[in-house]
Amino acid sequence: MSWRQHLARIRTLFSRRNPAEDLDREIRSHLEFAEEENRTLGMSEAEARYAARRDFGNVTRTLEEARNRWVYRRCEDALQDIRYGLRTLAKSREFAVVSVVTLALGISANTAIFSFADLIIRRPVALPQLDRLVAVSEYIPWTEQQGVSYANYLDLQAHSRSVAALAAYQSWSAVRTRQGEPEEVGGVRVTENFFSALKLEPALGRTFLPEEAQPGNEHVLLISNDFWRRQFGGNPAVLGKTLELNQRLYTIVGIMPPKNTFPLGAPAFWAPLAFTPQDRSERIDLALAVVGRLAPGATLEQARAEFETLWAQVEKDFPRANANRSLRVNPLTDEIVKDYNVQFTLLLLGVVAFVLLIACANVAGLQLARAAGRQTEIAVRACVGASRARLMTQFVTESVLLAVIGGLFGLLLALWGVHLLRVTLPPEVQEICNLEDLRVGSAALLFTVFVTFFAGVLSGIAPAWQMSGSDFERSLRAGESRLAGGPGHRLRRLLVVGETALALVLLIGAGLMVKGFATLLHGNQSLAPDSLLTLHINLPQSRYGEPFEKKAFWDQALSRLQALPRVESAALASGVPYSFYDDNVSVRIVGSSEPPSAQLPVVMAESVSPDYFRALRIPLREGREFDARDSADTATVALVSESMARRFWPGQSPIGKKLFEGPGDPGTELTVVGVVGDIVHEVFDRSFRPFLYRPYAQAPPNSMDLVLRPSESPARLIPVVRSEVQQIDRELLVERPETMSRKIENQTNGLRYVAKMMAILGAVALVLSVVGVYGMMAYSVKQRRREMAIRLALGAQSRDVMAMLMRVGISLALSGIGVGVALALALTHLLASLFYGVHAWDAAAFSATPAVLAASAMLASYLPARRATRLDPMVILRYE
Amino acid sequence: MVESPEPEIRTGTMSPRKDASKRVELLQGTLDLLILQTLRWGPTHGHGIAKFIERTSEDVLRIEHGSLYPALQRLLQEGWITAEWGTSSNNRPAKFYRLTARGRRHLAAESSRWEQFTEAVGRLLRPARTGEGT
Repeated sequence: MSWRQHLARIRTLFSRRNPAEDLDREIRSHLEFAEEENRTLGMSEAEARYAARRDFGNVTRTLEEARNRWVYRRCEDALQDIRYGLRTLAKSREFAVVSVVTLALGISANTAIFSFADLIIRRPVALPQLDRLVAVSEYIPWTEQQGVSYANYLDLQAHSRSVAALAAYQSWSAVRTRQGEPEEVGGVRVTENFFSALKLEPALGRTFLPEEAQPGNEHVLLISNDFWRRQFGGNPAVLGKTLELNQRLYTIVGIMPPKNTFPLGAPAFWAPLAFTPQDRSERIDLALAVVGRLAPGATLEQARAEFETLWAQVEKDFPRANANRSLRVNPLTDEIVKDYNVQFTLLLLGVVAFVLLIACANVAGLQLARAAGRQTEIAVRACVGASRARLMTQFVTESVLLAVIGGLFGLLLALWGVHLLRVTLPPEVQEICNLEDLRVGSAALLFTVFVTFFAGVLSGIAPAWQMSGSDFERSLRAGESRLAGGPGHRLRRLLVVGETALALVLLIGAGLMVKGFATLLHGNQSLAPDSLLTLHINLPQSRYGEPFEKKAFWDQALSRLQALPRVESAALASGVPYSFYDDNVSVRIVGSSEPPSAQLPVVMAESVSPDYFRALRIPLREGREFDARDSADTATVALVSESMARRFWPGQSPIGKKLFEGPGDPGTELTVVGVVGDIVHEVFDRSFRPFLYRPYAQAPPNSMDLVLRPSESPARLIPVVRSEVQQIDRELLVERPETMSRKIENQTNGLRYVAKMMAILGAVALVLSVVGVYGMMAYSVKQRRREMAIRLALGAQSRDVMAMLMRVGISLALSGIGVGVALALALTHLLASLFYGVHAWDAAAFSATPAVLAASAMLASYLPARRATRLDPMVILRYE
Repeated sequence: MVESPEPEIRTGTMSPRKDASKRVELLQGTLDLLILQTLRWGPTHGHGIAKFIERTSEDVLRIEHGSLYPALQRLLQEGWITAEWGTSSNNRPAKFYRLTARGRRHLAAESSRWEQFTEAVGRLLRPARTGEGT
């Protein structure tokens, strides 16, 4: 076809002119000419008309052919199908409403979760030219720790060519005293080139000057937009004002924009990172996170190769500190988007896909039920020449129409859902994405369009196939109501079984997650976390610089707490479990068989008070606990955990063994005096960490957790502890007063949210599948009304009839449950491998959820069945 | 978008005026050429075109009148002809088709191609005929 012909057709498509009408007139005129001519040749009126027709040929066919020159057949057909579909949908309004609501639910869930996944996986941070940013980190395989030490960063930064700007940052929480009340503010300290490397611009003011990265000049701040609005009411006059942090005055020089900031985690301020001379030689502590922008033209591979060379040099120059560490250069997004996040967002996407499938099965079932009532119509259409493909297209068009309407509502629902996600997601999610950016974006819109058409076709194709292939002659002759089973009967049952199975899989999955996290929360029963109150105190370096000053404070605090009434035990530790405390020290075991060249092993180090083990109910396995003997002046001693003992002294008693701990050469010599039991330190630890405990008197830390086990409500104790501490030091901040259970809950916030979402989606699936069972039953009861009436008329008990009807629904539900359990058994292993603490098998989840589903299915079959038995058999027999 | 099949050229099967053996089946595409050629003598309506072709070919070329219309639509779409409702000599409303300048050029090109074609086919057939005759 030439382009001119296409053009003519397209023009017709958009014009109101009907070429067929014109042609019709023209042909009539042609026939009149011919007739007249024939008459002049002497034919009779009838002969003339006949001859004219004969010479012309088939008028209808000519019209059709000529018309086809002006239109796109398919397009025309589709428009006709849509008009017809809308008319028929308008006629069966109930069906349309239920289908649209069902599809809207399914589609909106998909759009909302897709938007979330898109944010988490594809654009967690919106930085300019994100693909040119790389994260650089040293990596210790054994502890999976990463970061870069100060001195190594300086070396790398000085020599790198492939990375144009290598910036470093570290999180820094400071105490701000406001109206006498100290509070903790979370911020970040960054190198001077941080903002230029990331191409971040302040909304107001300026970034840091090079001289502000010198120790002593670093008392300037950029504050976050949120902090600016909350604390200063968004007043621009705040620039140049000072803010007191850690009892030092900082001048505010800039305000960051509301969005697109870095790092993630919503820092309140950015301060310069000034390297002290001591920092400049520090190569052990992985204190920094390092990010860089690739130089123009440089590739990631070139950067990797260059850093490998640089690292080899660093390793050669400082073998002791850097042995067995490796250096990683990865795209920044890879560092932010952890496999783990990808996996759990994919899991959620899988869950909503299940919900959509259930919705589609439901709508397909409804279509079949409705189509059964349209057999006469379908048969008539087939008999006057509609091909099977044409009939199927008509059916699929109807369900796509439903899906499009459902999709529109779904989109509205998704907008609301995304808003709901934004406000209900736990704040921890800020660590992995800019939650501000969560919205239904263009990718999500495209996805919605795809999902809508997919759902439309999926829910229409099976009924279309089924209905267009039925025996039309028979249905025309028999009349629809007389057919017992009706076409699509088996398919409908299959759909009900399928959706019940899918719903059960979701419910079992949700059950396992809820149960698994509950176990994580309450599993550590010996600890009795409900009755443990913990508080955190951080001693400012300015007033507690010397070890004896720190020790004096902790001594005083401890004796005051222990003197409190109704407190069973009070203790101190540099980091209680579930507090994300992480202090790794390298140890050198005296007399160890390990070759000296190997990297020094690393263990967790804690300074504790003697009562710590009693307060946390950690059992003593061997030797003795700490006591008053272990003071600053006596021999330095240590306790080790069982796993540490096993690792370093396998098969022997560690009592009396010696080791060196900490930085410096050789470090502090310690003598092991006892072994204590292992404890789970963080919720997601998969194995026990090796622990080295020291009495705080011999190694007083800057900050410690207070642990109290009161015999009354822990909450009531908080003000008491506060006033006790302030009696020692007025300006000290008592942070994070909370029970140990609260700490555990905080750690599992994100996952509990996922579990909650699973539970909600599972509930939606349950409702949808019950609606499916109900629809199937209601239809089948309607179909069998005549049969029921005859049975009742012949004297059957209504109870028996009801049982007979219900048997269908229940047997279907049970088959669905059977398939669902089998499917769940296969899939829950996936879930268990994804979420620590979730087990693939749980008797309660595998028995309670099927029971709930079976009970709902029973109710869904009972209601229509009861209605059937209430009908007057005579009325039915007479009128049907 | 699948193109609808090109309409076949239908030839009358039962002509009362001409012996069936003398009738010639129209080749694909010739109808367009005949219509354009007809319109060279002036605008006329569908019936007039049919009559003209039949008369001029002395009833050798018989066309089913209906087949003219899809062909006319095609020519319209290509912009080779235009159409306008008017009144015939006997005061009947009729749609008159008129050759456009584009159509005239197309006709010239096509008819010279047609001549080349028939000449070539003729050259191929003639020696065989003469060989047969001798």
